[in-house]
Amino acid sequence: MLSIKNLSHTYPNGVHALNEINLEIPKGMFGLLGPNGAGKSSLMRTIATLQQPTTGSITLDGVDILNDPDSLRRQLGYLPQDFGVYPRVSAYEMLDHMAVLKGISNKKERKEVVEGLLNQTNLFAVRKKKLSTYSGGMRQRFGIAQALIGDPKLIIVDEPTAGLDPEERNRFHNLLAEIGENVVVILSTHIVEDVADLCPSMVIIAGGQIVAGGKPQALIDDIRGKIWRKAIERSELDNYKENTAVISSRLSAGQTVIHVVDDSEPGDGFTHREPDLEDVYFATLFETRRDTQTSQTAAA
Amino acid sequence: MLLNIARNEFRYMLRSPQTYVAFATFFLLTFLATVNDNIQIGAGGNVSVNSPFAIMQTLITMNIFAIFVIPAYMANAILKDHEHTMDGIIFSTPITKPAYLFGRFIGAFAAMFIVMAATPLGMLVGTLWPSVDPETLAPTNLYHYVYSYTVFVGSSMLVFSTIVFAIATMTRSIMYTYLATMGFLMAYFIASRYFSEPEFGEMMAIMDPFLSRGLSEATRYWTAIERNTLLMPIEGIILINRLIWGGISVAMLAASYGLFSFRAPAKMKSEKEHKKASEKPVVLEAPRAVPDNSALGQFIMRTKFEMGAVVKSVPFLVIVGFTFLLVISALMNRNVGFGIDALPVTRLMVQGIQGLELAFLVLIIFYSADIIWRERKDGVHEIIDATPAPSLVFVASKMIALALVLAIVLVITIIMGIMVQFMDGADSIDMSLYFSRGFAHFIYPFLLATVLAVFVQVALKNRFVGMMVMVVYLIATIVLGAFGFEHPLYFYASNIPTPLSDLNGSGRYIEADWWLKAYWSFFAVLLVMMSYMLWNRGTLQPLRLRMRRLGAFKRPVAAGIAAVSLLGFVGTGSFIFYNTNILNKYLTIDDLEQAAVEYEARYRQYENLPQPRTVAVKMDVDIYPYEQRVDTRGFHILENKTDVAINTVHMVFPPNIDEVTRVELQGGAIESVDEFYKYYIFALETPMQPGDKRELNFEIKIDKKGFSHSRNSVTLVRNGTFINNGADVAPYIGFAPRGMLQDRNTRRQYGLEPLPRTPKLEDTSQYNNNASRQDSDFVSFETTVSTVGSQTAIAPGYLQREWQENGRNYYHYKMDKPIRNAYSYLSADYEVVREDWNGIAIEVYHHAPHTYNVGRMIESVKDSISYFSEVFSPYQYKQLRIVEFPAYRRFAQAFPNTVPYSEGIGFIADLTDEEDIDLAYYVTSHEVAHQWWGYQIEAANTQGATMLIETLAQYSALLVMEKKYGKNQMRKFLKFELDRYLQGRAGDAEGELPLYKVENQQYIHYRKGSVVMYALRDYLGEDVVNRALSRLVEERGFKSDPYATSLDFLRLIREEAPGNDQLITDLFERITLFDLKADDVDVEALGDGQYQVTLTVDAAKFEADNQGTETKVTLNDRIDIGIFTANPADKGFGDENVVYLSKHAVSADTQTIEIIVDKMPTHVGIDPYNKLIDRNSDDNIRAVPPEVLAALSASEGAASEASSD
Repeated sequence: MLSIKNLSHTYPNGVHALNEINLEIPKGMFGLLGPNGAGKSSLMRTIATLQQPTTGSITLDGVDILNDPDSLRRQLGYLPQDFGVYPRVSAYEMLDHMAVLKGISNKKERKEVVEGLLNQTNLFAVRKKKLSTYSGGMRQRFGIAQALIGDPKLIIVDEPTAGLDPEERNRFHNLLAEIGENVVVILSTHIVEDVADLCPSMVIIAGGQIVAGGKPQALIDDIRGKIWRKAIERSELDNYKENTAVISSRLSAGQTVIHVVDDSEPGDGFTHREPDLEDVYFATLFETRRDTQTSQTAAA
Repeated sequence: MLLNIARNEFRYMLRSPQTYVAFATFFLLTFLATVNDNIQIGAGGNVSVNSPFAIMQTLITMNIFAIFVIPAYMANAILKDHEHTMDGIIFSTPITKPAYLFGRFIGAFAAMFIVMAATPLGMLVGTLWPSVDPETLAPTNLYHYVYSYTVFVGSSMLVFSTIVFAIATMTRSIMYTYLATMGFLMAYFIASRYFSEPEFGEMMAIMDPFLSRGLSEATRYWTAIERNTLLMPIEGIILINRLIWGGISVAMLAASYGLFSFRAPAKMKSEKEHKKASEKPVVLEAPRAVPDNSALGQFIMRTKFEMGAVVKSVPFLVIVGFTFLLVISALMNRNVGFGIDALPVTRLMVQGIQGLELAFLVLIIFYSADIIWRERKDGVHEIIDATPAPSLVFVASKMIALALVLAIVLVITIIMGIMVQFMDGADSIDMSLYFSRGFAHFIYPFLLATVLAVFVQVALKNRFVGMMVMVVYLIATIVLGAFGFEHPLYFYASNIPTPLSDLNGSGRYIEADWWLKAYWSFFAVLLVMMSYMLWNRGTLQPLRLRMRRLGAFKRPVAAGIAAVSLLGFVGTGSFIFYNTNILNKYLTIDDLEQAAVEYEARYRQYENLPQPRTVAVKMDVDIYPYEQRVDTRGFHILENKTDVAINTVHMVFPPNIDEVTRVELQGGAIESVDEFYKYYIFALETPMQPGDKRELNFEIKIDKKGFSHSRNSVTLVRNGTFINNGADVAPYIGFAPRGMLQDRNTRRQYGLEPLPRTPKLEDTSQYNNNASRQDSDFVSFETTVSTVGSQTAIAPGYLQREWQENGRNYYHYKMDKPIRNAYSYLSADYEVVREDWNGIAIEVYHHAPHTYNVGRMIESVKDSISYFSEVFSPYQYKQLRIVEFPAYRRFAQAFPNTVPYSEGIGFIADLTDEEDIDLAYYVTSHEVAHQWWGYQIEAANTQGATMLIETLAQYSALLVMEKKYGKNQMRKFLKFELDRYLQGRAGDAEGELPLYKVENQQYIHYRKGSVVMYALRDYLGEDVVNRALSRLVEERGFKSDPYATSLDFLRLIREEAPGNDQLITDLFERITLFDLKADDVDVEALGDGQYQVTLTVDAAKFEADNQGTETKVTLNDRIDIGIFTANPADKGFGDENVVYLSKHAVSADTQTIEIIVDKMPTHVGIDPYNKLIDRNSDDNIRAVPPEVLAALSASEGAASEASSD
């Protein structure tokens, strides 16, 4: 459906935000996982026609959206990572405003759409409050409501669960899953769980490049048997980092638990770990980092 | 720590972008003002471009505009942490509050102070620029710059910095700070305008924070010498001013300190819980609505939304509120001179509405930025921009919203105008004029400006840069004209001047102007299209990248509209070019100057060539007011009045002539013709011997086509034509000096010696030339004039016959006596009021609705003729006609028995208040007096000529006015005159001269003349002065051989008033100034209702030279001492309030004057009626101190009690 070819973007200050991205995104939920600053938002904005790429092409159902952005905008629902609101405007007014801009000119129809979405996002009771007084979660739900106006075929949600409490997040996931059956939903996040829970396919993006991609289960299968775990003292961490391929470390009950990637068992008290998507993510990032370092060293 | 913070702030601010913008702007402003001699602030005349006065004036004026820079530094200093949400981090560091606050203040102020030094620097560099005429420069004195900048500018800047700092601390919003600043500036402009009258001078000087009024008050009467050498000291009112504002500054700093807190107050949640929480949505789940893209609906909704956002914003309300005040004051204040307002005719309301201009420009510049950047500023741009609404919807709705807001403000203003008309008793309200000129024509350029402002904001990446670009554009439109870029075709939203008149409406000017508006409208369409194509959706992208989207012009609809617009643009542009450059000559001011220089080079050699003079004038003039055409056939007789034979005759036709069809001089053959200057030289077959006469026949045409880029004729118009022989219908015999450049500075630029303003009084060779034109003396006059069937045409002379022919009206006028060679033709659709009075036909030709003051004019004509005939000489004509002409020019001018009189002065003056000076009566009387002073007595072409013409007319009018309105009206009138004289002295380019040598200097012959003649009459008596004048007419009336000079007058007055030599010398032959001051007064009750008044005076007398340098001279004069029971300056003061008024000998030694009176006085004064020229006429009267008055009343009570015992 959505096809991205050789997409690169360089900011005027020389930063390569996107580097030769090639992607085929099918119907359904699609996860875009990556650390902050990896280029996720740049990619999202580019797909949402809010940013002209330096080179490359994007087509939706065969239509080149860089030349005809309006055809995409007519089918787009977009929730940016960070958005503001007009001062002195209530949720209802703003949603109504957005509905007009999305082309729903019939008054009755618009009322149904607006009230329905307010209800779906659980904002109906506070619809007359000024948006500027909304809490982070409420504002995020409002963002989702506006993205869903006008039955979009392509929904782009950028870091949608940031600031949501678990219950809201759950509700949001359900909403997305329901919509995601018939349309393309691109979900960009740095939270592995979101992708794990929702997306049948995904890519990992780092440094403006796609470093891994596929079905989550397939990715997990790829590293099965290569991830090892050990609980260590905090003071030993640096030592381990130097000598083994530590992909992640976290605290657990006062101890530091490290995960290490290795084709064979490292011994030395490491135990086998059944990998999950998080391990895939960290392992991928680790390898990307190592590759860059190696290439830098080689260059030096 | 404080110094550290200050240093960091200083560095930060100095490197910030506003530094470059502000420095460049202010440097260029003063630099250009200095380099360009068409723009002069403070300088001019004998005052050098870099004189201390010019430096002070320039720096202080620029500082008013610098107020926009202050928030960029001072508000930013305190708010930048907040804006960048760094406040949390900064405020939790161990910085102390005073160090933070004052460190920031000092650092930012220091940076700003350095940056704004661009103003003096620009000026200084400007004076060193090679193109500046060295004659206009004094030696560079850095101290003058440093003093003016630090002491005046620095202190004002400091005051505003504290205010801005305090507002920023209080509001925590850069926007509100800007607004408050803008509001302050508007309040300042309104106050300056509202209190511009001299009586508010001192108050305003004390209040004006910029010291602008302070400077003008403190230096009001400074002469050129003083302006070139003195710096304004900090003393008196200036010191008070600085102390007051210094106090305010300290208070503001204290307030900032008190208000500032590192802990920002938590935002209150003012929202109420909605009660109807139980309401249910119409559906639980949104239906799948399919978008249908109604762009029109989107546009309407967005427009409403944007308008609401503008109208509900505080800045808008502040700006508009202030503007309404400004406009109301403009609508109510319709000053036409001497403190008189005009009646509220719709034309003046429409002109008053133009007071909106500034506010509209501010609104456009500010709100174009606000409206265009709204989504980005609020952070909703990504959501909004991802919707399928076309960019055109956003751009167009924003433009239209701004335009509608302006329209609403304008409509409200028009309603205010109508209300003012109702309040001030207008008898008709012209709604169509309100619509055409008040609304449509007025708002149009602002709509174009809106389009440009929006385009600029769309194209640029930064709203502040966009605002700056608009400001630069506005300045450019004003300034570039001065550099020879005059053509309206290259100034976006340019216009052709469209003056208004009741008689002539908008005339043909407005039609020409609409062509220009159409031209720029087509261009604006292209700007609108580019605006929506370049409209930045989503991430801000450089213009370079967005330019690719201009490819949208290739789409059929866009291409079609663009093609039509381009075609329209080129088409209307060509039409305008055809009019301005082909039908008319496109001549810039520089071209005209160049032509005048060339004229002088070619023909001045003939200046003193003996030439015959015109002695008889017969004219056939056909006026075609609707075709801009005048056909003239002239039959003149020239006579050789010299004592040599004349071989060649030169003549120059006036520049307004388009075609000389035929010109024949009896016995002469054309030797050369200069088509450009219309300079003809005839060689005579047989020379003209002294006393010989020759006929001159000519046929000439004014035949204007289309319109010109400027200088469209205001004399030949559809209704209200007013042309005269000199400029429009008759040649000048010999070299006409008027064709040369006159202004001495302009002449110097072209390397020409200055022209003497008038020949010297001692130059007897000029005694046979009259002051107005040297090619003729008295002539016989006869004319036929025709005009269209709907109009009446008037020329001097008695109507012999009138008839109709081919639907045109013909009039034949003839004079029974020779007149000076000055005549005019007027044609309009007139109403006539006629009155036959003692065999004199008095007629007033006026525009039908202008009946208001016709009665006063007729009365003035009668009073004047009757008085002047009695005391001077009989009136030489049997009629006197007053003829109204359009307000494009504001004067009245006497021609023989005919007085053209502008509708802008007497006809619509509001004279209902009896305390006011009767302007219509005064002006009429002055013009009637010219039938004596100008048409019975003509002055020789020397210095002092205008004293005989204008001063004597002023004197005559004063006498008639005093007879009707009494002495107290005269005090008021003379105070206006004295003030204008003293101000005029300072602005004189070539230096002042004594009255008897006046060189056509208006401030001397009118203003000083009134005061001097009134004093003369006061000292010598009315009979004595009038007798001298009557003898002057007897001796020199209707004589050209020689003409009268001011010396004749002085001789006669001395003969009539022997023993007053000193007085006459002081008044006429010297520039004498007094400094009279009532220092103190004491009153003692002597009992029996007698009071001893002791007045302490301070008196000195000076003589000034023509540069204004004063030397003290011995004071030994008889000066009025007056004792009153009310202040003569107050309303309602009358003769009954005068207890004592008599002249006392006053010398420099005189310190106290004691007088016994029989009434209890309240005011005492020396020269209380301002009869003498006093550099400070406000301190002549002193009120008896209240405690003395109280003591007097008490003792009086006691006395009366005692006597009743």
